[in-house]
Parts: sequence; C-alpha cells; structure tokens
Amino acid sequence: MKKNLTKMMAVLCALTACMPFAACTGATGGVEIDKTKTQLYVSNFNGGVGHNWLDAHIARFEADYAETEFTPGKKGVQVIVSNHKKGMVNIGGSMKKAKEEIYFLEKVNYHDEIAQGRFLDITDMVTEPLTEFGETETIEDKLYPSQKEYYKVNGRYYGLPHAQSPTLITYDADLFDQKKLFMGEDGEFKYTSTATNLSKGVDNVKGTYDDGLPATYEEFFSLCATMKKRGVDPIIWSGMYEWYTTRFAKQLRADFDGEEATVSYTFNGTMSHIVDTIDKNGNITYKDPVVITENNGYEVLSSASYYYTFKFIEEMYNGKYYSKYAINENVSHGDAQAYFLKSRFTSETDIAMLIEGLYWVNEASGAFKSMSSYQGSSLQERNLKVMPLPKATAEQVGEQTTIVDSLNQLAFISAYIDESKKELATTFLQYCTTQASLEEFLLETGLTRNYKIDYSKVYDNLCPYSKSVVDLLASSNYIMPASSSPIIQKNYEAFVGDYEIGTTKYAEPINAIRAKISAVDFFNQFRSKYDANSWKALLG
Amino acid sequence: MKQAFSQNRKKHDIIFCLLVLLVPMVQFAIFYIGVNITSLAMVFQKYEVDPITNRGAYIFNGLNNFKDMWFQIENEGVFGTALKNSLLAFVMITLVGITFALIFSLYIFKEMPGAGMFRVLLFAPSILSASVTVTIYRFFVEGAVPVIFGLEQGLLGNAETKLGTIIFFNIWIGFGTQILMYSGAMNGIDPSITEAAKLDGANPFVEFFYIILPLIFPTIQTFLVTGVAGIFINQINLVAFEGFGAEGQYMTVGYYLFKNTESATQYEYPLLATYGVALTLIAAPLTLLTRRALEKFGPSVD
Repeated sequence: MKKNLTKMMAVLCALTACMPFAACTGATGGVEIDKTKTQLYVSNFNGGVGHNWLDAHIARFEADYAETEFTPGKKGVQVIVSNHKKGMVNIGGSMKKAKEEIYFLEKVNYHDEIAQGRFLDITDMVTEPLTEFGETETIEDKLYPSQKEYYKVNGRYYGLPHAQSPTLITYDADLFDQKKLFMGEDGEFKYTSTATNLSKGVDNVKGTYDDGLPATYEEFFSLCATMKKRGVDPIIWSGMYEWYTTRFAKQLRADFDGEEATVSYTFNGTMSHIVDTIDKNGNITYKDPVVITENNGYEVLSSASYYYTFKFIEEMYNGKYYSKYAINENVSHGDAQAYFLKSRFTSETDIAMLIEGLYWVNEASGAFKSMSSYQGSSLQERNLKVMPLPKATAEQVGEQTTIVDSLNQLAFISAYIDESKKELATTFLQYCTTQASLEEFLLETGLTRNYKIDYSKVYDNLCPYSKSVVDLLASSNYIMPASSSPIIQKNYEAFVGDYEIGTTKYAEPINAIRAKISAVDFFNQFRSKYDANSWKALLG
Repeated sequence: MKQAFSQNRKKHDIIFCLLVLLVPMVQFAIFYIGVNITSLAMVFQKYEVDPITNRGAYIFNGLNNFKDMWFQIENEGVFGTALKNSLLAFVMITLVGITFALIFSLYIFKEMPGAGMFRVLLFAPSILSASVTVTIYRFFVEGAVPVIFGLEQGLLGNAETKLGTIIFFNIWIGFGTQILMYSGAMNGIDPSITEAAKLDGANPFVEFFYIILPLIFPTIQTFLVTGVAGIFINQINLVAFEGFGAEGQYMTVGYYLFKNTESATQYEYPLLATYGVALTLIAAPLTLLTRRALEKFGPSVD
C-alpha cells in the first residue's frame, strides 16, 4: 500500500512538473497542414491592430501565388498565423526552436536583438525595386529619413516598420459642433466646423483639416476652459494607466524639438533649445546651439521641450480639465474609451477628448458594439478625429508636426529560418509592404503602417477617424525613439523607457504634478539627473 | 526464488521512481542551477557589440559591475527608496501581520462568537488568485471608500495613501495562511496543559504568553525566517496593482529587480545579476542569523 502510494505520488510530481508543457500548443494552432503546399509560419502580436489585416493579406497572397513552387514539388503557399499577445521578451529566447519565420511584434529593442543575431539580414529585399508587384519603388524609398537611420545598422537592414502607435488626442467633432467649440479668426470658441471664418489651426494654412482647432497650448487650454463652462469634461485618459499621459507628453516633447528630437536618442547632432537658466515663472534663457555628442549627452535633458511638456501636463491637471474617471485607478484604458464614446449618448457628462494610442478604435470594438442601439454611434458614422498637436509657442505655429513612435513595433524575419524558406519569407514580407497591402491595412485597421506613401486612392472610402489619421500623418515628420548608441542600450529604461521624460522618483510627470511639484521644479529635477561627472561614469 | 523476485521488484521500483523524477530533476537543473550559474558568471562580465558584425558577446569585466552598482545606488536614488520600502513592508507585513494573525488565531482557537465566520472570511482571499483579490480590493478602495468617507480621490489614486493601502492589502492577504497554520498549531496543544494552567490560576494573558506562544513558536519562527529570507524578493503585489508602471516611490527591491530584468537589454543583465548576488550575500547570513537568534532567544516550553 505504502509503495503504491509512493508511486502515485511520484507520478503526480512528474505530471505536475510536466504541466508547463501543456501550454505549448504548437505553431499550427489546430490548422490542418496542406502537404501539397509550402507552409509559411507567421507570428502576430494581436493587440491594437488585431489580425484582420494579416488575414486579408494572406488571402490575397495565397491566391496570387497559388501556382508558384517555392519548394520543389509543392505548388502554392499556406500561411499559418499564430496570433498572441506576447512581446519580444517572451518570444526571443525560444525563436531558435520556433516554427514561426516572420514576426509582427511590438516593444522590440531592435538593436539589442540584432546583436543577439535573431534577425535575418534583409537588406536585399528592402533595397530592390518591388517590380514583382508592379511597383518601381523599393521599400527603402517608402521609409522616412529617420527610419532609414534607425533600421539601417552599419549599412544592413534587419527589420521594417510595422504599425503606427503614437499616443495622441482624439476629439469628438460632433460634440464640438453641437457645443460650438471650434475657434474662429476672432479667437472665440463659438463656431461649428462648417463656419467660413475658422482659425487656421496648427499648420497656419486656411482651408485644411485642422481649421478651427487650437494651434497653441494657450489656445488648447482656453478651449478646455470653454468646455468646462459649457458643461463638458474636456479630457479623459485611463486612471489605471497614467502612462498614457506620459506617452502623450513624449509626443509633445518630440513635436517641440522637431527633427532635433532624434538627437536625444543618437547623441549626435545639434540642439537649439537648450535651457541655460529658467526662473520660477518659467522665463527661459537659452544657450547657443549645442553640439551634442556621447560625451555631453546629458545636455539634451535641458531641452526646453521638456519644460513646455511638463507645463502642459501641469496646466491640464491643475486646471482640472479632466473627467473624474481620469483620476480613478479603477478605470482601465478600455473603460476610458467606453466612457468617452458613450458620454454623448447617456446622461453622463459629455467628454470631448480622449488621450490614447491611435490604434484605440480597434481595441474599442466591443464598446462600439455595445452601443449599437444608439443611432449613429458606429465608428463609421461618428465624427471622431485625431487632433493635431498644438504648439508650445506661437512662433512654432506653422512648423511641421513631428510624431514619435511609442511602441517600437517591428516586422522581421527570423535568423533561424530554413535556407529553403528564405525566398518565400522575403516575398511575403515584400508583399505586405506593397502599395496595395498598405492600403488594405489602412482599410482594415483604420490606421496607417509606418510608411511614407500616398493614400489618396482609398481616402474617400475611409471613415472620418481614419481620414484624420491620414491627414495628420501625411503632413508630419516621423522619428524613431532609440538607436544603437551604447549609452542608450546600457540605460534603456532611462533614455527610451519609463524614465525617458521622468525622474526615478516620478516616471510619470503627471504624478509629480499631483504631488504639487511645479513644472519648473520638475524640469530642474529632471535636467539634473545627470551632470558631467555622473555622465562620464555612465559612459563607462 | 522469492528473494530474487523481491530484489528484482525493488530494482524496478527504483528505476520507475527515477524515471518519474527525471523530468522535475532536469527542470530543476536547467531553471535553477543553470540559471544561477549563468547569473553568477554575469557578475564578472560585460556585454559588447562588435561594430563590424553587429553581433554581441559577454566578455570578462572583473569587479567593475560592483563599482557600477554602487554608482547607480548613489546616483539614482530609487534603489534607496526601494530598500526603505522593502524594510517597511517587512516590518508591517511580517511583524504586524504575525501579531494580528496570532490575535485572530487565538480568537478562533478559543471559539469565540463568529469564530467560524472569521476563519472563512480571513482565509477566502488566499484561495483566490492575486489578480482577482487585487481587482476586488481596488474597487473597494477606489470606488467604495471615497463614497463612504466623502473623499475626492480613492486611496490608491492619492499619492499620500497609496503605499499604505498596498501594504495593508498584503497584510490582509497574508492572514489566511498564517491563521490556518497558527490555529492548527494551537489545536495541536494538549488540552490538559491549558486546563492545568487554568486550575493553577493562569489568566488568559499568562495562558497565551507562557503556554500557547512557546508551544506554537516553531510555526511562528518559520514565518519569521521565510519573511527575512524574502525581504529583497517581496514585490508586495505591485505587479498586480501597477503592472510594470509603478512609480519609484512605491517600489520595493523585489519589484525594482523584477521590473528592470523584464525590460533589460543584454548590456543591463550583468549589473542586475550583480544586484542579485550582492543582495543574496546580505540576505543569506541575515536569514541564518535570524534563525539562530530565534532559536536562542525565542520563548521556550521549559
């Protein structure tokens, strides 16, 4: 009896130890393998942009290549997708043994992964014209200059941009019309979007998509004050995840510095807004333009962009220009989206703006569905639009908007791919980057992928939200928030991650403001994180 | 013949058990021994990327990681805060938690009114997953408490009450297991001992401190020793509350290391491994010392 019990216990122990293996479902995900075709395995982060876009690409690809032999004796392709919510940190270690050959992921430290040899060198497929797909351009031609600088490491490409993920403000244009919140040439917020005398907006050009919207921080907060007077809660964000405000602040910061924002990730360039002194009222004296190298990289922390960003957060918080849900730790990003969408249809106070990643409309599909009983509540019917970033000062109005990526999304081919599958994998990745596929991505997700292309062919078929995304991004510059600089890689969280625009005590500037630290004081704390001596030690 | 059969069977039994234990042993070798050896090696290494090949490798770095660790502790400030929070959490969760758990256990042991209900109420959070209890607790302190007390913000939303609210959660969630263990140990006390004490005129105070406490002290000792051993790894459920976005002022050492490791680049692993080894060098002797001290100075049955 005792022996049997021992055996049973031993079997139980072994089964318990084997339990982790139960989580391994295999790459096919239950899909039946068609042995007459060549299989291509794709790993897709099923987050903000979902997987419908990929399914659509695959359906066309499989049809287009139905007669092609990528493997001798096998005609056609079967693409098998594994949709998941894993980041590179969960996937990287097992890539060698994984079946997946192509990856669409987010939060990828591109340079760190290259150094570990996990990405296939795809320089040839990036630089050859896409003639096979009826195009004359190369993929490289579709990249922004800062993307080329970022993705090309010592002359070689190892990955490509994936989805757009900046955190910006979405506004309810119908509510703006209803409450007459558009700004006129007279500076008053009392117009609808159809008025002929609207202000010129951030681009300082009349007759464009941003007419009547605030062009400066000052105008933005005037708008917020007007909203409050008219019984509207100006802004909502997730009270549970305050870092949405931080990601938005990173956009403001990058937009102020423009192309110079790249210098804070490369430590190679000149910055023209380095603060010398700042008094308690925020009056600034600037240094002469500073040439930044790895040796004086700490100087970038003194860019006035940080001060103006903290000032924006300070005014937004201290002016109480937020919904009560924005300071409730129970309110997740999904809840915030739902409150924003539903407020106009319920007895709750109307909410005019939402701070969220551009992809939020996909995440909110459940909220849209739950509102189907309200007439005109679908994404296609509603006039939800992305607001262009207002400028910190009146002098900057008219300057191009600069957008910074916040989730480091990446498309790449595994370095461990079988030699016989390389042609198929590169063809598929090229296929996903053709004009037709990029347009399809926009139609499926409402968002653009990170490529500089013309979307005019499909523009008219888009919902107002997607049109505003295209309008804003088509007129914006784009920068990547990382580089191969060893100082960045050795201190990733400090320069790219959580503490990028915060201190170690307050990673989120809004929490410093909540703790009654003024924007000026927080800026001074932030810029003194490093000095010449501590920087030297950081350099090693 | 019978003896040979018996020996053969014994051999088969041993082989069977060894085969069954093979998987957990391999798992232990890879995920514990292997990981710790790699971590120990990293303490003396640094990561460099060859600018020509774009490939990285770990190379010998002597004791420089200790120097870098000290520099970071001196300059960043967050580690000092995390250390302070870890010690505060230890005092509150282990010491205050044990004190209250003993009081509640005694209440249940003495079968005072509602003892059964208390047992269920205090043990219930232990059988739910942390994310469930955190969600329930979050709704209570953010939703109900502001309404009841007319506060503008919930207890987690308010920076001044946030850390205390999280520590309170940890004390509350720790009651279940402790009460089960202490009341179990108390039930194991021979009733004749407490009866004899009562006949000798011992009041409840004397009974608790001179009879019950010494008899259940080995159980308390286990909780104290494991509490000390876990000072630097306890992340006070911050991941469940905040994900990886907790502010520096609320971090404990356990959370600080967990969070930084989760997002680390290859360059950063050696420094994190150095933190791990340095903290082990503090925690291991401290644990042994605590155990020795408790054995020597703790209440004795004699």
